[in-house]
Amino acid sequence: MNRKEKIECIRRQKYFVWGDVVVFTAAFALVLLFFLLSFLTPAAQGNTFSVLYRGEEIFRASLSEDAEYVFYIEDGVGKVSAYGDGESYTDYNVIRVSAGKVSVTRSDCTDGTCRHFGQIAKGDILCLPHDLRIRIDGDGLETDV
Amino acid sequence: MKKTAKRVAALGVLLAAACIVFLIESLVPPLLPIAPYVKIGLANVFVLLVIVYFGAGQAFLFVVAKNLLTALIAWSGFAFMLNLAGSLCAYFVMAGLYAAVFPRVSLVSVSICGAIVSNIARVSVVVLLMETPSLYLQLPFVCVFSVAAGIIVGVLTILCVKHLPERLTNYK
Repeated sequence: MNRKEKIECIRRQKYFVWGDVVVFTAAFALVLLFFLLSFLTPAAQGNTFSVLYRGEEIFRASLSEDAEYVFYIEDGVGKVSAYGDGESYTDYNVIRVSAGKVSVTRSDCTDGTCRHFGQIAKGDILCLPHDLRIRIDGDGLETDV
Repeated sequence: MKKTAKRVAALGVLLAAACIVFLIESLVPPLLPIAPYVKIGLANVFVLLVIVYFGAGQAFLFVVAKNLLTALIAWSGFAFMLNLAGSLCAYFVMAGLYAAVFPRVSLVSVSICGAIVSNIARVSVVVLLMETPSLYLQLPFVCVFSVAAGIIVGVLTILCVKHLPERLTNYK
């Protein structure tokens, strides 16, 4: 079938054809497989969290205490300190620990990805522009899935 | 293949439209908050249109040009790698399936496969760059989201092919 015939075929064809059943079945099987792998992978809730800048751990704190920290980059070095409302930072992410969960509440990164992770009790929060990773230190999170 | 002025002009218009749609989409907050780096990929409508009307060879150049142009307008190293990996994977899958199995499956299915592979590639790039394999736990949700995204892109592409006047899409 040449290009022109294919275009004619799209014009005549309905949105879905019977062959799509195979694709939808494969997609469903893939989702099921990933769900199974997700549930089979242990993801225990951690007691501490770490802040990693450029892959290196620069800070670790407990999840049991509610607190606010600020990560900021100064002269190319990533630093974390207790957050003070009055102070101003550049290249920063405000990290809030509340009820055993971590979230990024404010940041000046370009895409705001880190803020959209919400409150997490397992897994990671990433800030791609700042090369920042906030990791919940629980057993079984490092997976080979 | 003879590249007439009309073909080049049409590719240019589609490229501009793809870049605009891509940039507008990047301004929209993430639709899947647990995996903010996955996206619908509305610009794939134009990639699919180029595959349909111009062939896979020119679509490859189109995808590379789209990524370079959008990177020039809004440079971010991470975003560039994410977008390049996502769009190239989507292109290879969509072009391959369109050549091999269309019309036994519809354009919507071609688009769904492209969206799934594209978003898995995006997650993989984040995992590689940030060394966070735990992000693979999001894949079930990413796949479900991708199926919905693929349906949207596929239906939009079919609508374009069905309703664009033939004088605008006849480049011979």
